[in-house]
Amino acid sequence: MKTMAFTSFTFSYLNRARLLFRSLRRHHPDWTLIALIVDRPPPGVFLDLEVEDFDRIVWADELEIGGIDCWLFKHDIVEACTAVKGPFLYAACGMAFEAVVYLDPDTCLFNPLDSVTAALETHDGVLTPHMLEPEDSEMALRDNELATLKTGIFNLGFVAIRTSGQGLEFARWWRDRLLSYCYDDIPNGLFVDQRWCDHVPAFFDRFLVLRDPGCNVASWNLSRRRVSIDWNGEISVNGSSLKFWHFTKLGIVGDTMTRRYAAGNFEVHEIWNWYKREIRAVTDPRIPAGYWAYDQYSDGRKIRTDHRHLYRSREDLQAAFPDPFASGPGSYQTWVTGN
Amino acid sequence: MGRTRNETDRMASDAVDDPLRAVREAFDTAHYGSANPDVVASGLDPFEHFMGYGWRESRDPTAGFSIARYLALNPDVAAAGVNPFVHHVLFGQAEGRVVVGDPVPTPITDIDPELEAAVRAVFDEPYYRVANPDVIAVGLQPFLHFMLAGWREKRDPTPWFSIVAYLEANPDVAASADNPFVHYVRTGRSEGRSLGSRPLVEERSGATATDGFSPLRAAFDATFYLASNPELGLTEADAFDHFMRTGWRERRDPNPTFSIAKYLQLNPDVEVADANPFWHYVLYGQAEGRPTTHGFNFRNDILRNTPPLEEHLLTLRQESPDPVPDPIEAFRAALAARDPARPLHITASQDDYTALFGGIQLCLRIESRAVRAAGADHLHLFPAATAMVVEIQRDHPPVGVVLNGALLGLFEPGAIMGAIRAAGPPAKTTFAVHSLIGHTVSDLIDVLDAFGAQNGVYWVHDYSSLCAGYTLMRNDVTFCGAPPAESAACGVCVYGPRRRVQVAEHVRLFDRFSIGVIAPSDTALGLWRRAFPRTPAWSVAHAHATLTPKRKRPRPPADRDGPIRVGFLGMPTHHKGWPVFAALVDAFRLDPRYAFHHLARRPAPGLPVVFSEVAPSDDDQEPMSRVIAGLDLDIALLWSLWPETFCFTAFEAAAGGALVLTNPGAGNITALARDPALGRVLESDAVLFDLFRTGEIVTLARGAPRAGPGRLTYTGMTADFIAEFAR
Repeated sequence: MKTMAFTSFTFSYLNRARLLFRSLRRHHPDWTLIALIVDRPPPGVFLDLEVEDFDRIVWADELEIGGIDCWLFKHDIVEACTAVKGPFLYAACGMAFEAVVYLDPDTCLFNPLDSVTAALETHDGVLTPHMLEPEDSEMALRDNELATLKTGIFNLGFVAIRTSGQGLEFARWWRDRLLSYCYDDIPNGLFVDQRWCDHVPAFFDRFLVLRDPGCNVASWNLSRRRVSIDWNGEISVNGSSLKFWHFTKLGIVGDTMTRRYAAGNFEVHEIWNWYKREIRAVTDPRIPAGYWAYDQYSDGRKIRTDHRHLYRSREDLQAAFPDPFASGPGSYQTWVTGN
Repeated sequence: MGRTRNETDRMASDAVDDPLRAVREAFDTAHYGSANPDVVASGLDPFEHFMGYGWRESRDPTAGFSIARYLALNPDVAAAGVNPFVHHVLFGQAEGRVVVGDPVPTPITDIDPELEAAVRAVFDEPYYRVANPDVIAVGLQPFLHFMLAGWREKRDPTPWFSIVAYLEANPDVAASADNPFVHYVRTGRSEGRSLGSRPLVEERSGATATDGFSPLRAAFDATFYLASNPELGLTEADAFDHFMRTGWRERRDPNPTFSIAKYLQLNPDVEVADANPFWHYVLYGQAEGRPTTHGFNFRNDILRNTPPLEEHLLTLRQESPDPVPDPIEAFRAALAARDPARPLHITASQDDYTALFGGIQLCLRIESRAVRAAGADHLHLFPAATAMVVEIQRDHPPVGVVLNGALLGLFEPGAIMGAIRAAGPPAKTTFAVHSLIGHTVSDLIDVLDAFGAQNGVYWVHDYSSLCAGYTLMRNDVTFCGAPPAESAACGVCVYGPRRRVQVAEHVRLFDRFSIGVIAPSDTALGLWRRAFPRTPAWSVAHAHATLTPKRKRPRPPADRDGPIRVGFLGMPTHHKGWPVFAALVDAFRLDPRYAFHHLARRPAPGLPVVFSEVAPSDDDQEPMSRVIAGLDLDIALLWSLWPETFCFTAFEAAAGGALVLTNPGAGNITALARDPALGRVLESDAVLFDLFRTGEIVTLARGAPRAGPGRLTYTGMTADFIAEFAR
């Protein structure tokens, strides 16, 4: 099946994306790999496709989104990186691929995604839930079950579709929703791209909820997954080969959650240690920490979250200021900081 | 204690990392600068300083935000170890967490903090203190006591609220097992519930300072407490009081299995709440499944703290630079002086065997004696600088040369080659490579070539020919089984990247000469043959030594009274199982049935065991068995975590008359211990611990008759084979 895999990221996550692409290239050498970059390169940084493990770059402002500037302004960095997934997934259905796989940049393959490719033979789409089993301790249920009731049952660090049938329908529907409603607004039931997918089992009966513990292993399901490494060198999770790990929240928060739920399972820490070493090796020191091209007005001042929220909620402001990134007299920036 | 808040970590599909922008915006550079002139003086960016160091030092990021107070008010944040300002900006603010205001004490119960604050506001602390002198006498926070235990004991929180009366007047509350005072504050008073008719407050006279703590008393071990703190001069009757009053603050443990220090380490919210950890555990923590010890999680510590191989190598190179080579004359003269008709036997290992004492060095001493006794000269080559892997990066580093047991010097390889060619080849040359670590293989090949060598031996003393990690411990934590190099396991191992080249360098030796392989045990040979990519010209298993019991009949069981003596032999490294021994000592150090010993060249800090120095020398190469016999050691714990190819120590332990205890994965040690006259193989750490807990180990140690003391009879090492392969 002719397959394309893509991920969506900004330059501050280029290091993670590089590890993902390297692992994709290793385990699926025949797949086309595309980098969807929701950013512009920092000064002095150029991506050379000859040395990178991806085949093509698509920049966010190349997507067919009307008023792209206005649209990007309404979204913060997480919202923006997740919102573009729907439109690009739909656009990918028009390219000559039979299947498209999306993975978060902070995931990494350890084996081929054979349970996914097998599923796509009989289904039009595949999702992985955050958790596959209920928790049995108070602390874990608060951390995991309750939390995912707010952020979504399925983890959209992964989704795979056929580019026809319900896969195409899903892509069209998801694109439509993400164009208008990809916000972090948990009290109102929205969590970027992810909570929308709670609808999927009801809307799309040809989608599979993939119950493979070797897929999308992360701190939120470690409490119920045991990682083992045998003398043949194979890594498995609850008996199923490890397909991909989701190294979410690299840093102190990720460490804390991992340590909490992987106490006796030292193999988990072996894998995390490896990831941290590899990240160091592929990090470009020229990329400033926390860099994002869309986080500032033209004069370099940072865009405040409340500015974005105000703009997002007021169509009159959107009409009055079609280029919200601009600075100077008559700009949104002038208006909003003056008020 | 306290709510856990980890929804924040469920930003499940966050494709990008956003934290710093919002935090940067909220940070008050001007305030931070004026409050921390040292940061300004250093020229560091204030925000970077704050994020990297300042928050840990409680330097506040804005005038209105107090790091210390935020941590005290939000113990779950403290427990998570995250930057509280970051937490506040990203999550705490949205959650309505308390930041400033009147000094609000730490929320310490499981109920909603606002509700707890409301309850605390009506709680009459002075009244409670007067009414409950026993609680106060042990220094417990009145409110904490009331909320966790006092209400159950019907101790009233205020003069006007009687728990007994309220429960009688409100049977639904009594049925609900709710804290009646909390119920009252939460809904009872707005519902206009009756407070009932107050009974007389009973005098609590005649109570000792610590009545009402029966579950704690039951778990407290007064005998242990007295034995652990002899300097206090307590009696058993005083012990509990002392512990509850001050002992716990001084981290004096209440019983052999509960460590105050460890519990606080593992449950930082208890520390923040300033609660007695033992009390918290017995009343609260046990039911919650709170951890009390690190257990066997020493592997997590190793993974956290051990620098990876490449860093280690860099450090090694910096600390152990190549020495300046000696002039070649000494070598040239020595070659010229020897009789060219005498065969020459060349060995290579990672160090100068004449200067150090260890397993491989002992083997080389034996081999040197044996080949020289057979009429050959013995030339030994070693890398001048300390190394851990085969050398591939440096350019022809100097090589040390020992001839017939005397060090000639450290020479530049090119000069060595020149001297060899000048002297002409010996009549017969054989070689045995005991280790390639530190050697530049091409240089070694050139030297062997120049001496006319064709047939030689490779010794499998360790697995350095299979991987850069010579014990085959993946990431230094567990035996890996030498899986294929392209496997996922090698992919995540610190030794993985260097493994290929290390093996490839060994293969060059095998491709250039006709090499036979000798391993000191069958298991070592089997593993090596399976994993090495070449088939040797021949191979054989040949133990370095055998054990000959001095007594013909098994030794009768010891009839000594007193504790059995359990010893760890050798360097306290983790691949030899030191962490397991340490955990055993931790658990049983005050158990009168056991006395723990460590026998080695140097003591290991931090573990309360009896140390005996064991120092090999030229004259005494088996000091271990002598010391063991002298101590009358019952058990030698040789809990290696990798399959040792040959462990002299195990043989010496058996020769000294100790029972060798090990696990199934310790290779040659396991093979020795399977002989019930010499040792026991225990399935796991858990089984080991059980035997100590139940005391069955005493029966094991003293019960069965055993062989030994004995002595070791050494083989001739390579000398036993030279006649065959050097034809």
